[in-house]
Amino acid sequence: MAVLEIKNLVVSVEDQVILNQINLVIHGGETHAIMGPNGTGKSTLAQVIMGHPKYHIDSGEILLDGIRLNEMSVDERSRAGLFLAMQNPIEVPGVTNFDFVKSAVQAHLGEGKHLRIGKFILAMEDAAKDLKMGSGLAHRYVNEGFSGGEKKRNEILQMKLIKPKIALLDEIDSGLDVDALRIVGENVTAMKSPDLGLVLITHYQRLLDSIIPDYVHIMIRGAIVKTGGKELIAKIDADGYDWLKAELGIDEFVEKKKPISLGTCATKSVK
Amino acid sequence: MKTPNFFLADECTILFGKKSKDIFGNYSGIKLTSDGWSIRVSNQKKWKKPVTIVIEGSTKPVNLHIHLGADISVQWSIDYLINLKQANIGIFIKLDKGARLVLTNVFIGKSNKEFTVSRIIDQAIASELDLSSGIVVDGNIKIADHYELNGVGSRLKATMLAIAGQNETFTSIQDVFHNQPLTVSEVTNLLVSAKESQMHVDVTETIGKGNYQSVCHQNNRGIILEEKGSITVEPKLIIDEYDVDAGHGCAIGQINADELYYLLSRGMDEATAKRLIISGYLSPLYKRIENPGFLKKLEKAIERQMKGVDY
Ligand SMILES: Nc1ncnc2c1ncn2[C@@H]1O[C@H](COP(=O)(O)OP(=O)(O)OP(=O)(O)O)[C@@H](O)[C@H]1O
Ligand SMILES: [Mg+2]
Repeated sequence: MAVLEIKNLVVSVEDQVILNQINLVIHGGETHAIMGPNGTGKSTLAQVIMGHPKYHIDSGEILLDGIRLNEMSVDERSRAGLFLAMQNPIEVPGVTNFDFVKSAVQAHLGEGKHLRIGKFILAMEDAAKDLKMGSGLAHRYVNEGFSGGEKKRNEILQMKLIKPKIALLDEIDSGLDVDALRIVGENVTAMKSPDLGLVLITHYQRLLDSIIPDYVHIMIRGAIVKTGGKELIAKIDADGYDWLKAELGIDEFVEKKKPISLGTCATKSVK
Repeated sequence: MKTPNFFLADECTILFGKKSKDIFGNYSGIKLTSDGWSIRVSNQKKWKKPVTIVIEGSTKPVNLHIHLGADISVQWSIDYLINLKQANIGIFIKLDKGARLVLTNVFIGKSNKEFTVSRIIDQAIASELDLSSGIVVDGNIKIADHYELNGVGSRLKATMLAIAGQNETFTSIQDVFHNQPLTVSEVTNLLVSAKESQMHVDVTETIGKGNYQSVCHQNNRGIILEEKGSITVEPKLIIDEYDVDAGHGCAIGQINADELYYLLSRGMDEATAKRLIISGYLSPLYKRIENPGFLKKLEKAIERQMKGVDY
């Protein structure tokens, strides 16, 4: 059973602390949801775990099965069993989705082992079918011209074929219509097993209705300020985050902007 | 370079070789003149299928003249197998009114001698040239293109993909003249500098006064794979008319960091990821190659140029 541990993680960009003392443990078989207002560092946390070169860890540790990831390259982390479905999947011009996914799966086989191409084609077709993706997407260029929903499904397609130990899904629900959300939910739920730890980053209850989390973490301004169960989701859906900020005494000074007079701007008023 | 058999076996291939016994297939309008080869197409029926023309490299300068008559439309691939002591190459294309040429023009092979390829294009009213060039030559090469859009509404789309390897210099001079109103040109250059190669591209597009509603766009992209390589592009637009649509884009640098990160995050090591990104970059040219044997040959040539690249 895999375990991802994040210990006292601090990350800053240009002298501004973006992640502040994050502690989180995810075991295989568990599903964690991370919620929080825009710009609180959820995506940054996911990218730092994956090893994005843009971010530098000031202090703290990330461990997968007891092995320290801090110094590992991005591809090593992936091969160690981490997967990140990105909030904004990247377009790769000229590279077909088929070649891309094939190379990814090949990379996870380990040295000396070769992909059995016939078997792989069938597996990819099945995964596409499960996700109700058009078969044409395999031969289009990676994410190029994909609709928002197609991009998100394509991330899940990769996850199905790569079979990670720990998967971080960053706003996998954004851009999905109601049916697509159900399909993605069913597919991810079907992958749940003691061998998979899931982290869902989301703003909405809808996703968490279909992929039910064991733990819900609320992140505000770079810190996990509250951890609870499913009951937190409904509360946030109904009331937002203000009650929590009040409860914790978080002063959202950024929002306390004074109204500014625009002076003599000509306006048309309809009465 | 010896002409491979897959060319000879293909019924749609015309071979222009060094020896007198050259294969013309069932095509009319081909002549050998003192100046080189000449192809004149005036009967559409005889040139229905896409054709591959293979030209063996030569130590003597050889020219190729192509003249498409009014409203002729053909799709050709003209592939040069470069000789070790390659002499200069000239290609002259004349498109009459309404003629349309979709042309893939690939140069592969190795030369120990620096040589120049000159391509001169003359387009009449409403004619169309869609030219996709691939230059994967082991050696120093200069390519000079001169496009004259001489007819109202004539259109040019020129895409060039060049890969330079170890210690090579690659120079390309491209001049596009919009000599009539409503002319359109779209020039794209994709450059890959592998190892310590120096690449230089000069693109000048000229729209004279009175050639209203002409459109000229150019886009130059370059990837430098190793520190000592270099790519310089000098785009120029010389425009003496207000009512035109002109623009240029230029992006030269290392492999796109976001694309690389995405591939790495899927477990590919850096070398594999970079190779895949470059292959994507090359795909516009691959897509244009009809002959599968030649495609393999092109892939091999590209591999040779990239060999030993320190990713
Ligand atoms: N490379 C960077 N340079 C500067 N600031 C950054 C960088 N990366 C993230 N930030 C800042 O860190 C904060 C957290 O961003 P992040 O994308 O992690 O938020 P998020 O919680 O995922 O928000 P959302 O819900 O909108 O996706 C934001 O204020 C963002 O502008
Ligand atoms: Mg985010």
